[in-house]
Amino acid sequence: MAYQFHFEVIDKYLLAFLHAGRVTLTVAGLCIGLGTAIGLLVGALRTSRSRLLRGACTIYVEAFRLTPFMVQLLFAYLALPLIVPFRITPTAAAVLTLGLNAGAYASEVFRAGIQSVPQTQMAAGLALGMTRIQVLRRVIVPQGVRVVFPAYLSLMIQVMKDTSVFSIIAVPEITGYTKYLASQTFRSFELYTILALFYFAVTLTLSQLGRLIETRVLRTQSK
Amino acid sequence: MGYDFDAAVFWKYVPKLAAAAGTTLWVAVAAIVLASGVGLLVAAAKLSKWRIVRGIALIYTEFWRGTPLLVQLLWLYFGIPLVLGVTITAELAAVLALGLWSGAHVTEIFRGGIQSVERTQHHAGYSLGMTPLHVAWRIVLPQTARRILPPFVSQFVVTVKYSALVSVVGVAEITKRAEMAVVSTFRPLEIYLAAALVYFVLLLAISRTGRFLEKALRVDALTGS
Repeated sequence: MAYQFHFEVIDKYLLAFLHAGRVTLTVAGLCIGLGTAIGLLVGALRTSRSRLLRGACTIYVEAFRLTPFMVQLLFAYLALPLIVPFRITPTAAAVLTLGLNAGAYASEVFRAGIQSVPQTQMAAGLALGMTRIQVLRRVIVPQGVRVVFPAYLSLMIQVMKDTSVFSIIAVPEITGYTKYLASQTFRSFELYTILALFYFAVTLTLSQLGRLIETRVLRTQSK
Repeated sequence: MGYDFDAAVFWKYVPKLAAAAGTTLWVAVAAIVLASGVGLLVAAAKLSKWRIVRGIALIYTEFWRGTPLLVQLLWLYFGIPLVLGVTITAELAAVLALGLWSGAHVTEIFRGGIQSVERTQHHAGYSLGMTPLHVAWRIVLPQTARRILPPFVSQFVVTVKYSALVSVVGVAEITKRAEMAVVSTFRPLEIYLAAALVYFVLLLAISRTGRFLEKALRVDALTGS
């Protein structure tokens, strides 16, 4: 018996589905913001002269890069509440974990960007009486941005996709909601196909937006 | 705050979860083998003369790289079997999902490696009377292999890392075993730390082995073999 497709199963739940999609976009935006901020800070600290600071940052980055995100998430959701004196909601735990995870990867991207600018420029800036922070902000970063943008963009698209893992804990995002719908309607194929299309539309939009920024704002030569 | 860390539980579960690393590795190796086959095929398709073949290859890589692995896994394990009217084991779904997902990334690695060999070398081969297959096998692939090793090893590390997701469909690898242990002991802190340690050592070992291989191959290149 051939399988009868019923993609219209989504019609009844469309509003709730799109609402869950908005939750996904919101948490992804928060994680991207947090990851970028942490990545910039840690990326700068990893080029600092203090050995202690560099060491602490290396431990943070390697701990997050050499363990699976899912394990980090389970830890934050189930183990962390045991040792901190306040309550953490699942969504807060999820955003914090993915933000820290993204920050670890982003710091590597940003460090590579800082190091792509010749060291002599730092010396030149310092010789002109600028502080280290000033040189970073006014000389190094504007050049580094062009170098790191493509890697940064694909990292942030990865973060967007990783929010789907939030469905294993109780975050009301779109993958979790689709799982619930599938269990209610037994239309797994149709629902997961629609879900995949949702993610594809979002990541495609992000990558096209990124290409636009590259050519219009950063004016880097694109192939 | 007021929680006492039970080191005995932690040390009891480190070896137990390390034993489950066998399953993690097994799934990841099977997936990367599948990914290599898929990657080679799709990379060849992307470099094909025919537009339609290139188009199909592009759709595959864009779609698989543009959607989350978890969604692909759920689709393959819960969705596809309904349509085909078959049942599929969790292990098979895990290897297929990880392999097809990784394959899309491996395709780009292979394509970059193949394109890094200058066209003039192809022409040189042809002018010596070699067939296209011969040129690919004797000239392009040996050079490609050395160049793609570093990104290929990173892709394997990523595959091992993301294999934690297959615990969702019930494959008894490290993460699933850890979850099961948490349910029976109520000691998430100790057990997830143990799991993190096992992954950390495993992934560090793989990336170090990769770096060692890179050096070994570079020596090969210098001696010209």
